Amino acid sequence: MNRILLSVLCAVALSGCGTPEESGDSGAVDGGTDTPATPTTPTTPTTPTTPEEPATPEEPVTPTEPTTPTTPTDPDEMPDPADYAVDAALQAPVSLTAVAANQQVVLRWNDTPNAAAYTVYYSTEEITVDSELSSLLIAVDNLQGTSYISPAAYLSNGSTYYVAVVAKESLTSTNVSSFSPIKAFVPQENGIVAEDFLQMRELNDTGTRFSVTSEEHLEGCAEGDRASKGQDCSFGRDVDAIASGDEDGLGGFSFSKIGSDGSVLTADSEDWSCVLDQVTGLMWEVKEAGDSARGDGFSSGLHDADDVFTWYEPSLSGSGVTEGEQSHASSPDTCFAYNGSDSFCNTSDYRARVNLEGLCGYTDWRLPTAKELLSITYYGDSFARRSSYAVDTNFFPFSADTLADSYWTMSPYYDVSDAGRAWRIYLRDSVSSGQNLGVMNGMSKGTSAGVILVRTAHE
Amino acid sequence: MNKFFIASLLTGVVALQAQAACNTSTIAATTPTANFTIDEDKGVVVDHTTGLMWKRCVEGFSGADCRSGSTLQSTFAAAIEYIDTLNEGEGYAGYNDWRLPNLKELRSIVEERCARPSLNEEVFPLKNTEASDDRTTINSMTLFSSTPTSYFDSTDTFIWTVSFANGTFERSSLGEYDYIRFFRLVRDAR
Repeated sequence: MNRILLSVLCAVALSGCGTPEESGDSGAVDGGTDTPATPTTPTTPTTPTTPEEPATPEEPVTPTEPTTPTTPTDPDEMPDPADYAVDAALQAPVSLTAVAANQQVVLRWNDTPNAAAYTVYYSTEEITVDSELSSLLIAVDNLQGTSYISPAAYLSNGSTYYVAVVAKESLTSTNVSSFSPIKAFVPQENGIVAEDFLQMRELNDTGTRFSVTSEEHLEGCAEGDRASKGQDCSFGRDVDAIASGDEDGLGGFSFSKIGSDGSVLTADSEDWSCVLDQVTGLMWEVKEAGDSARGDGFSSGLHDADDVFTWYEPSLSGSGVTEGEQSHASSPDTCFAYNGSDSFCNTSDYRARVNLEGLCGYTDWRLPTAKELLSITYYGDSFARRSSYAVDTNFFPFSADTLADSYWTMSPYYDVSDAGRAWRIYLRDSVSSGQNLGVMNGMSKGTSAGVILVRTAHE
Repeated sequence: MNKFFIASLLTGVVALQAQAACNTSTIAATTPTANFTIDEDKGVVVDHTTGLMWKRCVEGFSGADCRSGSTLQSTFAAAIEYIDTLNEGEGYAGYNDWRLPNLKELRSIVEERCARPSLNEEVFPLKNTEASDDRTTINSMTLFSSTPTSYFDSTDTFIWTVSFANGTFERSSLGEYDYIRFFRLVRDAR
């Protein structure tokens, strides 16, 4: 087993297993001391190894990563990474997390549209967006997965490493995307078990790029008194706005528009039905902007943003958590094509209709959890106190005429006893006072609220 | 004593138990213990799902069970100053990049199947005192996030806070009323 893995690693090594003399260049690490090599950097001056056994002096290689390349391809047909060239038109991974462990690191990045494989570059010298690929080392090439654990005991504790991931459209292509976000990490004995982090996801940031003082709302970040320092705007994805700027979503958000047939559209597309959040891997229903009219004969379609629904989940019957209400007690006609039945404008029936429709080609639409709906909630406009929306309206259109203001989640609200409520978030502020915008709290299931369905696009 | 302290006492009256009340049979855990690496010696936990490292104890408390120390509520500005001093000094657990969590980060450790407090106390223990006033305050504590906001027609400035009585969002004044709140520190382990 080890031998097979090693031969794959050899095949993808930057220096090539058959040309160990090149490793003097690619593996040369200024100030890198006697850093034990990763499996793909066959030698360092102080650790002579054979190409077949790129082991550290202390212990043999144990390629423990569960995400080893699954390439069935004949190594002879694979491109030489030395030929890789950046094609800026290819989409780069937008999220990369690196958690350091003892002589090890675990990486996780987002599943990237149109990517067939990924190559992980690293260096002990700082990587910038302008770094030449040829100046970097390759940890793993042509990886068909979105996580990577470096083999045990290859990295030096206390040393700083830099890492970035590029995407490829096919295994045999020599065109690679530009870098993912570049991360630095320092391996150390910290009790971290790398395997625990294979499903790690960066949380979406809030979109907040301003701060406040005790006196005023600032236009920018951390420019005022001490209280303005150390606030949200100084940390997280919003700080970088992640290479691509706001085109893919405000601040650190990174959305893709999805067509009704499931195809990935460009950001300037004017006809899209769903949104893929590349950071979280969730795909969201897009509502048709409202016009203050809803109900049978008034709602303009299944996804009318004005439509509201009671919270109803029949599978909870008898569970101790209330299943909610099939219909609003006094105003049941609140959604598209209401047919007068006792059970129609509720979350469960709505979900069934959308799955029957096969929105964007999928039939696994569901209500979001509280954490999921919070992930797309935008807190960047609160500063303008009359702002009306807590989502990025470039991707989730709302109009001032939209009737719905708060949106359901599937998460039951619990407060010592079952309160008959579920979590909801105000994504818009119908009373223009800002008092509810962005608030998440519990609401009685018999109340009617908006629904934005979600599905898990990438685990 | 400000009016919000009084309000939290009133809402805390219904919570007579010292430990969180939880519905473990029906509501799925949002912060299962298996999601965390717990370092009791250093007093930190790392969330496998987010890559965030948290201090186990809310500031003011210490020890493996967080039962040493006493309640520490402060204004937002004082909390920022406290964190600066910590990072510029000895740091904590060997790290000097502690900060307040943003609103989404803070909400990510709410255990939705528990209330008063809405925490998984295996991961984030809370002091369990005999003094009932103290207990209700602690079990329904409101924590600062780092995310600023505004409110209604007020010209005052606010910070988003999360009530760990049940996990709901609130706004706390930073200026005119300058509320005091609890806070818990986080850093990026990723």
